[in-house]
Amino acid sequence: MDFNLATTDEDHEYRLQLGAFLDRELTPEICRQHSMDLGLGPEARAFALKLGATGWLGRGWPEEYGGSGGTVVDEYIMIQEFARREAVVSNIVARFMCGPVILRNGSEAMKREFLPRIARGEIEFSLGYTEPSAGSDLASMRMRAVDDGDSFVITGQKMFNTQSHFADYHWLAVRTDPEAPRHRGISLFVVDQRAPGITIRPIETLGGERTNEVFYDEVRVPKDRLVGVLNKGFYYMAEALGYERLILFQSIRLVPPFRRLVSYVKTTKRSGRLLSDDSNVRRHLAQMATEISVAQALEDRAFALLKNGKPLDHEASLFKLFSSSMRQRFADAALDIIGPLGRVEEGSKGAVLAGEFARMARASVIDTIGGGTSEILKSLVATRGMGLPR
Amino acid sequence: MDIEFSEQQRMIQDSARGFLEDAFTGPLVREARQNPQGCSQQNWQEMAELGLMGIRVPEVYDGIAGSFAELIVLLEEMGRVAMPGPFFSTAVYAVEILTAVNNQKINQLLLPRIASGQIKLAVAIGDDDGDISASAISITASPDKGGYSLDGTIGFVPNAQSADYVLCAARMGRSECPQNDIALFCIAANTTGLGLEPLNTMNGLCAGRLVLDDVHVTSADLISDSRDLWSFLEPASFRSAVAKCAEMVGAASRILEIATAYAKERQQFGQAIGRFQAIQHHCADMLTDLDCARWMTFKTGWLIDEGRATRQDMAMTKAWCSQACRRILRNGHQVMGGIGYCEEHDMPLFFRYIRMAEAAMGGADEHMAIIASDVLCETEQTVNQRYKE
Repeated sequence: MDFNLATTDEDHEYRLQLGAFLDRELTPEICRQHSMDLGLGPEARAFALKLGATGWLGRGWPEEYGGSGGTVVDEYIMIQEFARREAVVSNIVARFMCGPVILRNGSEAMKREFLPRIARGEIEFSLGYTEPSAGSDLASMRMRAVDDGDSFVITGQKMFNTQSHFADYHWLAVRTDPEAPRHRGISLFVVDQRAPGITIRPIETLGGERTNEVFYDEVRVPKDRLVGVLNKGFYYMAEALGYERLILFQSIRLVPPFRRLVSYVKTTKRSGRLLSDDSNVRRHLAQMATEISVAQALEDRAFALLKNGKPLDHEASLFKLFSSSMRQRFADAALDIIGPLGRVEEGSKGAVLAGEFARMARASVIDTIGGGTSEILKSLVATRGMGLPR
Repeated sequence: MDIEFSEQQRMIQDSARGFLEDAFTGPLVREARQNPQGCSQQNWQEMAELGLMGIRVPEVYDGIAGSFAELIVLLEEMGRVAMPGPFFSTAVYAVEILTAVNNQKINQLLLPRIASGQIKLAVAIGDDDGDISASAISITASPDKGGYSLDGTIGFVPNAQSADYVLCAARMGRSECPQNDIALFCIAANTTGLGLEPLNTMNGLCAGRLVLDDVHVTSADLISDSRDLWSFLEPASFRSAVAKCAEMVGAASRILEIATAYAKERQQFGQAIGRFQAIQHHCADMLTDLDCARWMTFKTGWLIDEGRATRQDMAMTKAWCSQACRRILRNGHQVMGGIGYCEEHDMPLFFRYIRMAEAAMGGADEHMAIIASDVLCETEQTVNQRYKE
């Protein structure tokens, strides 16, 4: 048994170099552009290309597709190094959700067209799964692609496609066989996000991020943009979900806000007494610190499976289930500690820690909903992980 | 990152599981609650012959010097049968303390006999209320006829009834600082003045109250009175707390197995209850709590073997396991319904076992208080070190 992420000298060296690079290049502005989902501004774009030029974005992929050797450990080191700086890996959807599916299932031509560009940091994708009437029941999606000679013609609506307003490509799931059983009639396409016939409308959210409705009106998509085999799309989506559930909730991401909260209670007095001497406050802090460590141990277990080439099934669901609700408890505890001023928003007079916990409380609402609601995940854990009847 | 068991861990798991499932059946464990010895001499001797007693005893004292990770594997198996008896007090807590303090004469006297199953130990560190911190130690030691006289009471000593020797912490009255004022003695159970009042706990006669009334011990019984003694005793206690977590994880994993099997087979409203989301979600919550407890315990065990476990790491593990296993019990009972409330069912065995273990070696509240102190003292540097990789 071994819980070290980096074990070889090369891994250590890579981590140090990447860390130094990020300390130098990753500005607060770039982090903000990523975390708010407001879109990749020029700074974030330039940073992605710089990261791509190092070759590190391609680590874990074969060289013939623009990769630079390495293993999944290198991929995870990158995710961790960004997360500990409260940032998200550039083009994370392309690199860690869509790219791996293309690598495993895409045609040779598709691999050669997209993987090197992803590895160079040039392109980002937006996930196009959810529809107004297909949320948790994803397999009920209705958006249709109709075979029309050398292309498919796609019409319909997608919902909550968060990056569509700045992504280069839409990773689109649509129904290609309405007669087949629900899961077996869905296919995945890579669609140029700026193709004629696509309309993108913004949706404002409680957390402050922008997401989108995306409308397709007879959009023509060439057949070579079909991912893998026709009507296998749902299985590819499920395959990508395991990794997605693992990489979006790094517990180490909560360490910096936690330390800022610790500094706050050590320097703030209420009723003449330091908050750090208040037993309720101390209890909250201990619980928060403990849960971060517990989530880390759970994450280690899931990653160890991945590293050993085992498929991530209910373990990733379980990790997401715990970590997402943990972040909500974390925000709640912080607001309990800070009190009314914790609710004062960034930019206002009186805001504590730049309103970060007000924002976390708002933004973490979606954590237990997006990427599989906690209820869906619990049923998955029970049926797939524990063998209870469906 | 690798979560596979080593060859050695697998061997321990296989041999322990086979033996323990045969030796500690439900009826036997139920009966053992009324046995002050905790378990039969035959069971004890068989465990010694399997080498279990010496799992953490160094080879020079006839033990097998297993790693902490191996100990965890073994204790998980013991938890799976809610094993009664003084194994933990003797082969875990006492051995961790003796090897940490490392008085060679005492070790020579005790450790080979622990490994061979000849003697059983209890550890008495604390006060009348069951507090195990340094400042709570209230037994006093005063110089007397070339030795010491010990006085005071300790309210809760696990496995006191079966102990041949008690490792007892006492205050020397030489320093204002509680941590610098401690000595550790080895007291034979039959020493004059050492009184024992059995306590009937939720899980039977597995603890006692020790009353020391002018107990005379010689200087040969003094294990250590070094001013830095607490810096050895405390980590040994915290390691033992992590070991206690392994027992809880084992017991909780059996609850999960029992409840899951029942949910698949029990029919209500014309279908298996495991098909209902309300039941499925209870089960998923149980598995989440169990996996968290299990991997936290394994990870901290690994950190202990690496020599990197901090007090905070160990306290977090015990705090979490105490919280999580209690929830697992609740959910398990909810899934089992009325049948799990019957004393002849196995559920009450695990309820009684876990409700004792959650408080043993400090409960969630005590450990949370320690975590808070440590979190508030941490510097930027120690935080960075902790999250280095």
